[in-house]
Amino acid sequence: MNRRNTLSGSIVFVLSIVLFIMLSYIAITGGIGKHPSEKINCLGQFFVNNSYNIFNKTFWAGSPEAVTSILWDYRGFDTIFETTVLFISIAGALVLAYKKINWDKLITPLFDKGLTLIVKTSVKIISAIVILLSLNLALRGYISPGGGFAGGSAYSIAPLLLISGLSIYYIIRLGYKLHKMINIRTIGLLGLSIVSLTPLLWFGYILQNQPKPSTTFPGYPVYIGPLYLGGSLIYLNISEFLVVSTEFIIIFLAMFLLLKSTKGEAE
Amino acid sequence: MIEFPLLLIAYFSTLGLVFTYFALKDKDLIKAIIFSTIQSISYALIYGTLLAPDILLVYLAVGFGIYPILLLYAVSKTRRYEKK
Repeated sequence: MNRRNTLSGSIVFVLSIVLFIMLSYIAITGGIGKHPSEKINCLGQFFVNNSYNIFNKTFWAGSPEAVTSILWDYRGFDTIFETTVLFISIAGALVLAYKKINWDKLITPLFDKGLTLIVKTSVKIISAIVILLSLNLALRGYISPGGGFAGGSAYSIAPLLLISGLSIYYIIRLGYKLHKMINIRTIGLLGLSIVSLTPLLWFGYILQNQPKPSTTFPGYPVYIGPLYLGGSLIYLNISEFLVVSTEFIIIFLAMFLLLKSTKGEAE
Repeated sequence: MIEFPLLLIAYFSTLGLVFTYFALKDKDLIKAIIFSTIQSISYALIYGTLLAPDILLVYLAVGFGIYPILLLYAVSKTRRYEKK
């Protein structure tokens, strides 16, 4: 058995080297089509030139981060529909799980069993770092890479780590309750819709960020005094952060509450 | 020099394929999860090579944080070793 494993391991090793050489040969000789040129193509040129162009503000988004300005300004509907898809799937999963959670069986124990003290302490430290990093990703999403979705999915790792290192009761005591999370998600969705629908009051278009010649909408403020805000992007990022992080946490809570409350029946 | 990123992409995709094979083949499910996580890291590095840090960040959060922990929970509900 052991010898066969070594043999198959060496075969995989040789095959992977052969595959790597083949792929490199194909890539270098232009087998994947025309070489991507080092110049930016004209579509990319447009976004690089216009996303933060203080001299010609006709098409600018008020943000130096071209990706975030594409996601929330130039192609904002894509992100809105992505949020809708996530919303519907989480709502469906919650409907399926919610009726099955047996709340009577979930009696909070006095002491968490969890893992050893070393694991518990390090999990607490790591989740604090994760929360800080995710807030940084979400709030600075209009300046540097990141944004609402990345920050939200990174934030949801912290409660997941706390569940696995300590217990589900610990994060419920911290305040990650199922109904509270659903309410915060609703606040985030309300924020998204308010920010995207406000330009309609000035006969603008949905998800308009900066003033355009065709509408009378004055645009979201890019600077308030010394503060750089980046138009509507910061509000949309914060709302998306609330929505995505709470949606992931809702799924984890529903899943682990379901596992805890049906433990007796399964065995 | 446009070839160097292409070589890096070839290297990381080969690495991902090899670790996918290991993840499929291993009888120890915990090891399989770790191999699968290494595969998602190598795919995340491909995104880094393609200068797409926004996708890299989401991919790291999901592929390195959420996915292995959920799979570890799924394994903890069954056996650790596959039946022969």
